[in-house]
Amino acid sequence: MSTSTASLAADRAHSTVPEHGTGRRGRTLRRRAGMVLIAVFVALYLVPVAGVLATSLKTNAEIAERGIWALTGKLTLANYVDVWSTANTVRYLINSFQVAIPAVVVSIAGGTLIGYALAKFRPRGGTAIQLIIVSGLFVPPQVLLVPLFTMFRSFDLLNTLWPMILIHSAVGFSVCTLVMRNFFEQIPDSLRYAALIDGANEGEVFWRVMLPLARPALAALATLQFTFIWNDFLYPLVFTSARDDVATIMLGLLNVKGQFTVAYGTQASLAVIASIPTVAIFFVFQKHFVRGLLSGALKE
Amino acid sequence: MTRLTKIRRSYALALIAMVALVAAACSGTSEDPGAGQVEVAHYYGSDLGQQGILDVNATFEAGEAVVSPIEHEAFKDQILVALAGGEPPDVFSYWAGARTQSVFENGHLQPITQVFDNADVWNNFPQALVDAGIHGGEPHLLPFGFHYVAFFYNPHVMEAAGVTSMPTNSQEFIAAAAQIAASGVKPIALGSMNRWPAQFWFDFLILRTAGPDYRAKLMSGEASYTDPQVVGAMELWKQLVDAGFFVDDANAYTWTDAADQVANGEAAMTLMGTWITGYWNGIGLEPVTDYDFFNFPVLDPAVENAALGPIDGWALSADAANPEGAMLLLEHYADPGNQLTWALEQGALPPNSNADTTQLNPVMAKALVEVGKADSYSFNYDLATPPPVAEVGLDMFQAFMDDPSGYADLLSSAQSDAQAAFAG
Amino acid sequence: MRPTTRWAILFMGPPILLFTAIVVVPTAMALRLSFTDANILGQTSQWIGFDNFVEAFTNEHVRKSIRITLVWTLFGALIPPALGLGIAMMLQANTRFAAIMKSALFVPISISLVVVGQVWIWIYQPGDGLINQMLGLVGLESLEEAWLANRSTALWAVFIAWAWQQAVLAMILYLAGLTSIPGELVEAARVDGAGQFQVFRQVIVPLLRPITTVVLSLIAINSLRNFDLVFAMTQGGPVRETETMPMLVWRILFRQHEQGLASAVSLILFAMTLVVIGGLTWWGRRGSYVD
Repeated sequence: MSTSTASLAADRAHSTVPEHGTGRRGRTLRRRAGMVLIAVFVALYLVPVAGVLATSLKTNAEIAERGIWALTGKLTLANYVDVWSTANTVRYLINSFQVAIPAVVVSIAGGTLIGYALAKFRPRGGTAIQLIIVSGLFVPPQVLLVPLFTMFRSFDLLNTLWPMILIHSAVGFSVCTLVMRNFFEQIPDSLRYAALIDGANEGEVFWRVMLPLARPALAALATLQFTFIWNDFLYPLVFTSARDDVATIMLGLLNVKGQFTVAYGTQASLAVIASIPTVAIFFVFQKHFVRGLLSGALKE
Repeated sequence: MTRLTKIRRSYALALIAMVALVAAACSGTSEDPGAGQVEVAHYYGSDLGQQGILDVNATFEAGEAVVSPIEHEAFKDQILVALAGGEPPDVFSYWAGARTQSVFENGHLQPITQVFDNADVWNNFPQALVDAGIHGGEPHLLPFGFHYVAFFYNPHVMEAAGVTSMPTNSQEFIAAAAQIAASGVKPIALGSMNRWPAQFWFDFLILRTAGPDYRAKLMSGEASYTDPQVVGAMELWKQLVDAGFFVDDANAYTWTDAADQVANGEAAMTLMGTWITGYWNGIGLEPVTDYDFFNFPVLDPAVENAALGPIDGWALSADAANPEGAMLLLEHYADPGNQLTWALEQGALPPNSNADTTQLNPVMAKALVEVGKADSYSFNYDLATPPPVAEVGLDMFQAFMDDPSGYADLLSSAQSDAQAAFAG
Repeated sequence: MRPTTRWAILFMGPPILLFTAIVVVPTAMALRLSFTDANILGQTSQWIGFDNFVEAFTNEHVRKSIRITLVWTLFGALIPPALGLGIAMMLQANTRFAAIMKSALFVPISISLVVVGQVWIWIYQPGDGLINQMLGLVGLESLEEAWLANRSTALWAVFIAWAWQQAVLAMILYLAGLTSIPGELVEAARVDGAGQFQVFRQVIVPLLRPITTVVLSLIAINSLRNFDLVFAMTQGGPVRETETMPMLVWRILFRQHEQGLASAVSLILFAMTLVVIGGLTWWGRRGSYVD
């Protein structure tokens, strides 16, 4: 998988495929049809998103009376105030950040170290190590649930945030190793030797020369990992069950559904709050995200 | 080298930031409950009287109740996860019957004899309710509210359809249902999305035709789902569905959807427990004028009049971190005044006989009378048969509501699945 | 010891230890559990050999769940990538929209499946759900349906909600791939007299093959892991019609309490994942030789 992919620089700025079509009329027609299709497609994606936003801004009474999708005029922030003050919203958010930030940092740090070692030190058994670590991508979380549950129970870590931090750190090594190994493979060894000859040791070479080069790849991984960890629902469901004060925001969505059972507006407002961090990160780092996904699997 | 130093400095800063973050993650993730803190988990959402829990806890002065409300359906799995994890909440709400028996058998509960003694539950609660809390000869569940399942209806709809007296036997029931249907309203609302609301139909059809003794055998695995008694009950149920008496797409709705359908006149009645009154009170309905109930009709005069419903209680985890505080909280929950507060908010009947039941609204007062008149009181299906078996039956009810015609096949596969579940 | 080996150990040692503790050892423990009759509530368990695997392959509910997961994966590998490629090509032809759209599309892909599930529940609601209201508007009341409650539509309803998100994932990757295809190649093909469809088939598709492999791998993994969305939308219902394997494992664990069987089913899922990914990798490799 190495030959044909080298040409695929993911973020080439402009389209280079010329437009199709034979005559000018055919071209306009085709373009119109394309616009219509795009409009349909835009609606398909905007309507559900707008639906949640609108619902979060309507009063529960109005929703109960006229339904979720009614195009009514009166908008209010009451649901946000409500869910912020009466539910554990702030706690949920803090918990989620306390899981996501350390897990993102550790998974990327570990993946970078392994990836670098595999690419540059080429230790004996490196291929086997890489195979084992990368196959972590394919282990369904359900396989790990019961054994990890038993393990965390014996270390008295259930109903803390530790299980999520540890699991996401370790599971994250798989994708981070893959991406970082591919990245460091591309960096010529001459760079490393030059620094070694200058008297730096391997650690200094890694830290001062290689790591700064890897900044874009690290940003890509950070986006990927943060989204994945923030949105995770299964592990908190199992490891912090029946305790609202250690719930992450995704579990909080479920708990709030219990508290505000038929209050769709309140539920929607928390859903919006829960989505803001990942959406924001995507907006800032969108280019990195694509590159991260592609470099992960392509340049193997 | 200045550039390298600069890089080094920025990375050192990054490293410090990382360490700080990891440290931040570690702090505040585990906290010891203080001397008076009691962790409480319960399944009472806003539709099931959550405010009542807050009110009752607010007057608990010996300590502080730290409450985690869990979504009602998710609670059923989550509490088992928490118990298996060995770090459960101190106190949790639970359903009397087979569910409590199951966690008791697996050693997840500790006796609350102290609570029963101090609050004199022995004498202050009716014998049947005391018994419902006893497992292995010792008290393990404090009854907090009990319920009565009946046909809750919208009097305005009944009046519009010309149904003046409520049916007491099957002929009258079918006639009334036909009359309601003729007036353009669906007679029966049912929201079986979460399966359990359908169970009351199965329960009553068996109870009213084969009687509570046979039903007890079915629940314990001594009788079979392919018995003529069960087939007969399902056939009756099917006739009612085929007659068009049920709302379409019952499986698409929750029990609150069904309650809404009755409240806003899309349907006339729904077979539900008394907690529906709390939900209706919460959306501004008035007892008697906006809602009332009648008993499940007599199907066979020779069969005794059995009452049906769940008992909600509180259990104390074997691994509770603060059992002393928890016992005090449970005593607080046994108090007649608090049981009344809860009963009024949720639409439950208070187990403590000293609770001032004159404060119950007329509909709830009538329910209390009906429970007293019944020959026996049975738990509904998912509390009467062991939880893994209940899964089988609950699926069957939902499959039946989807397509009643194939109930014979449903029963035979339910029987083989139930057998496996009893064995496993 | 070579000095680089020492550095390698220093670098890799700590993370590999953590990985072993959290992933490798538990997987081995799951394998051991799958040969026992362990119960999640109880403490004792016995070695019962292959009974759980025999049970898994003979029990109709497990078999149905395997079928659901396979069908899901198959359609997951077809529909979202096809949609994604189609949309990507459309966007590429309309560069004006592309930038705005790309930004807007990051919303569906960055929100969690729990939130996606919630929105789609509202879309599918009987009565005042969006779909039924639209059908009512155009006079097609007869087609209104309780989409998530009807046994014949529920699985597809959940699938569509999922495909809605996955198509964006595919689209974003394909868009990146399309922009990197050298224009000269397309021009050259056209000069050779290739029609538009031929250019698509003979130039674009082969060149996108590596991207397709990535898209398919990601989507296959997501298909096989599908728990959050099913949990949020149907919990496997109605009557187990949407019970994917991860959902089934959950149910066996926490409603039937059988750890051993749950482990066996989860390992079968693991094996299925390896086979699918192995197949895709082989397909991807084979492609690059042809090129």
